[in-house]
Amino acid sequence: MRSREEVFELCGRTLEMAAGFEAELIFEAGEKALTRFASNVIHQNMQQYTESLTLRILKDGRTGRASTDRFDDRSLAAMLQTAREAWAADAGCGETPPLPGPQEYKSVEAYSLRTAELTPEMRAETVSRAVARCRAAGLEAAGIFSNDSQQVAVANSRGLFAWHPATLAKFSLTAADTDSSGWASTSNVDAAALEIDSSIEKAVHTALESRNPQSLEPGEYTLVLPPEAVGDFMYFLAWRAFNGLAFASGRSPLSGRIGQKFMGDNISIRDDAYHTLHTGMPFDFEGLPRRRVSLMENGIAKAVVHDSRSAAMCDAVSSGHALPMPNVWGPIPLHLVLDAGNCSLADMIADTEKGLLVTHFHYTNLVDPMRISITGMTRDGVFIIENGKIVGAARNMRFTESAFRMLSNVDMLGGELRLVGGGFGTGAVLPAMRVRNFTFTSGTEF
Amino acid sequence: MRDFLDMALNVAESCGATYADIRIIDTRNEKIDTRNGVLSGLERSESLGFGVRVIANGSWGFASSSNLCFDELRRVTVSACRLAKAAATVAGEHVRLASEPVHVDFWQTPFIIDPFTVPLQDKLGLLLQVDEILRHDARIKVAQGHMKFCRIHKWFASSEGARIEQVLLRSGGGFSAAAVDNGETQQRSYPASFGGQYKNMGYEIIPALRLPENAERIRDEAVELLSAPDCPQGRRDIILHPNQMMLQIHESVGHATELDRVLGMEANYAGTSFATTEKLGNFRYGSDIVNLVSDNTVPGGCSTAGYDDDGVAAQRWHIVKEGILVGYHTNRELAHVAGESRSRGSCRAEGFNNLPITRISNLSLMPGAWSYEDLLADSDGALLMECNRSWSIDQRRLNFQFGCETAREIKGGKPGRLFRNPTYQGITPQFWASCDAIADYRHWDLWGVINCGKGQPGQRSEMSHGSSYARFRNVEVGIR
Repeated sequence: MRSREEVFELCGRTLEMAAGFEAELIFEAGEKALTRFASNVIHQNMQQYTESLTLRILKDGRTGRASTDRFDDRSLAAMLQTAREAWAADAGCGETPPLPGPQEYKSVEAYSLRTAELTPEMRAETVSRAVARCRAAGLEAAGIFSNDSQQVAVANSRGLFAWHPATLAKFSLTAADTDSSGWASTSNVDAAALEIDSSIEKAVHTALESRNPQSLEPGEYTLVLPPEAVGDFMYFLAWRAFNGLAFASGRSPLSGRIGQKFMGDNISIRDDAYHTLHTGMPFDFEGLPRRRVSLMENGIAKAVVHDSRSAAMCDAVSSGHALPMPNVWGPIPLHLVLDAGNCSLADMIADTEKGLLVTHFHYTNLVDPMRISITGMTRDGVFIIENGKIVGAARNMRFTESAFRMLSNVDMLGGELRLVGGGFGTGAVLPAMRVRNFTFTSGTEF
Repeated sequence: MRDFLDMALNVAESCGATYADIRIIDTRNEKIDTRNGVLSGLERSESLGFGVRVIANGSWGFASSSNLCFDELRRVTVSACRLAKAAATVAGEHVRLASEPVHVDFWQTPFIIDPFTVPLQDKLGLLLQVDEILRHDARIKVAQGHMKFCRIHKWFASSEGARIEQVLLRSGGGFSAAAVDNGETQQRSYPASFGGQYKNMGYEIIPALRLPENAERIRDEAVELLSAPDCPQGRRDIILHPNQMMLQIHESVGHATELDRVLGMEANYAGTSFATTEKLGNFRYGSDIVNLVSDNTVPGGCSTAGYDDDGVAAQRWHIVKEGILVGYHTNRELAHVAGESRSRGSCRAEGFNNLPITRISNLSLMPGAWSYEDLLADSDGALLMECNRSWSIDQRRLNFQFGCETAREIKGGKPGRLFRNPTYQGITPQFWASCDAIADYRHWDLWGVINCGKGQPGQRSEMSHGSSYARFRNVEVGIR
């Protein structure tokens, strides 16, 4: 991986070549290593190294963009020429706010040498331990153990330079029997902080306890959801509801409805890259500092996030949530936090007369964007709760449910927050929750 | 380039590899997006890099880099061998590759117009012409147009002696119109959702798509959807437009018949498959008229090439024949598990930096005997669903639920009343068993999928699915 100084020099050299334009550079580099196992053996073992530089030039309301992964002067000049051709073809769009000058960023420690230096042999030893535990329990192990290093830099011709190195270690295990499975996942900036042994035990325990599942009729159920199962709903809210571009064009359910009630009194959601469980980069892809944004307070819509383009459309200021510009997606909150309650998962189960505990969901997708109605399947363990106890396992079912309706029907919230999903600081920090009247619409054969 | 190829193979051998291959890939992309009358995205990117794959101590190792030079080539190849040896400490049977003739060849996608020679102004002009038509109605709040072009120049060499150079070219585009009014939003897309229609060919696809000629109809349908009633709930016969059959084939047959999934190699991520190997040759996947053929030789297919990333020559074979499961998508490593002596050539990787894995090929439903007009005349009360909007399927590829942009009720042999938010749900073999009519070749076309995700780390791949209109009986619809 290149040092900060090397990246700074590369950006400076390229910006000099682009003199005469306002220019912005995004440098991205990643070294990814991943050991993949299934059927109790390692079947894929790989590492990759990639780097790229993307140039955006602006002048007279027009913009041009080009990328390369070759950094000799000739290749950089060719990239500039390609960007110039694109700029010349642009008729001007009025959607290119001026580039920002130098910014101040909060410090976020997201790099661990222990993660960067994890070896194939160390990953294999851990996988061997997981496989042995699954074999001993009569189960088949499948999963990954990965360690990634990456760096992102944003620089521009107004003197802005932002640089963020990060690492991520991740271990994930599916333990499977013929009619059941269990799953667990752990990720951290520091590989030494991974909860590997407890994840192995959790996956094995879930697989063993979800044997002999029975079919249930579709209908409305009370659900106990760990944070991993809540995550799917949050991602769709982030993409379609809290997105400033969708908001500006009337395609967010929040469009024209800030101040209105969407969720229960106990639901407050914010985007906060600086939460202790998040380790996201402290700037966005325009180089602007990420701001904390309160999105829902006690169920009432408060705001959406913006990049410079959507901010201009809404007569607002950027909240530092830009993806690489220009793009068709708009700004997306990548560091959601849902406020905790004061219950444990065990409290929720003990308090449930009749309901289901779901491990997590699979292949969720948006059915109706204005209601954030989502469909998906349960996966890797559905447990039947009766009179405060788990009494058996159920076959998987498909749900079709609105995120707003679901988050209006939460009557217990977990006190412990966990980071789920994402990677390199993205994802959501979430509690477990109990949800009343959650709608399952069909079943499947396992 | 030959020096790079030979060096990697020599280093691999000296590190104890019993098999090695290297792919060097030079990629050029152009992506143009318009939004509400302006150029909203223009990406032109180039990348060059290589990936080395080895078998050592009976296991695979793979490493890659975007820095193509001799020192890096040596470092990466040594790393690949180290990774293979580490994998071998938690291994089963040694990897054995199905035999394949040693190919020394050059192959390239046939095309008429190189899209990279077409002036940007011409491409933009066409998209902005469409955009203007779409925004003629004030209720269209977001009009978007897209074009993408990709050229992949790759060199493959293996320790078995294969030396294959290929130049693959993919082109396509489309547009969408999002109407907004009274807190409701509805979208129509053309020719298909999620970016349009793509084929392995040149710029000639763009005028053939007739984008401006279809803009007014699509705009008016988007607006009409705003006040259309919701799709009825209950069981109905449905006819799927070929641009939705693409998704139906992809999710419920394509992924289910990737042999690596069948064998559990995706169990921790995308899932496995109900179509297990003991079902091969005897499992009823669909009705007698259901014939699904995979074909990496078909002109225009997004996975059409001379060779896959195992160096296996392109082939055509049945996956489902007269309703019975008869084949899988295979690679050289797994072909023997399906009782086959040769790989079907379905092994591909995204770019230079990913490990080749088993992938869906161009998988198509063969046309039936019905004329489209006769099919409609015979389907009174059925819902004709078009253009995918959402998709979800369980991890064994059984329970699916798909949503479309439109449904029209068939009355008197014509598509009539429009419904919004249509969805349908089924269990894969039961659904395909209910297929009782397929329109003929006159409405059959290949539809490109350019965003198929699979694997860890995630890889994107491309393939096409050909189909005509197809009818399915007594299907659950209107789930919401």
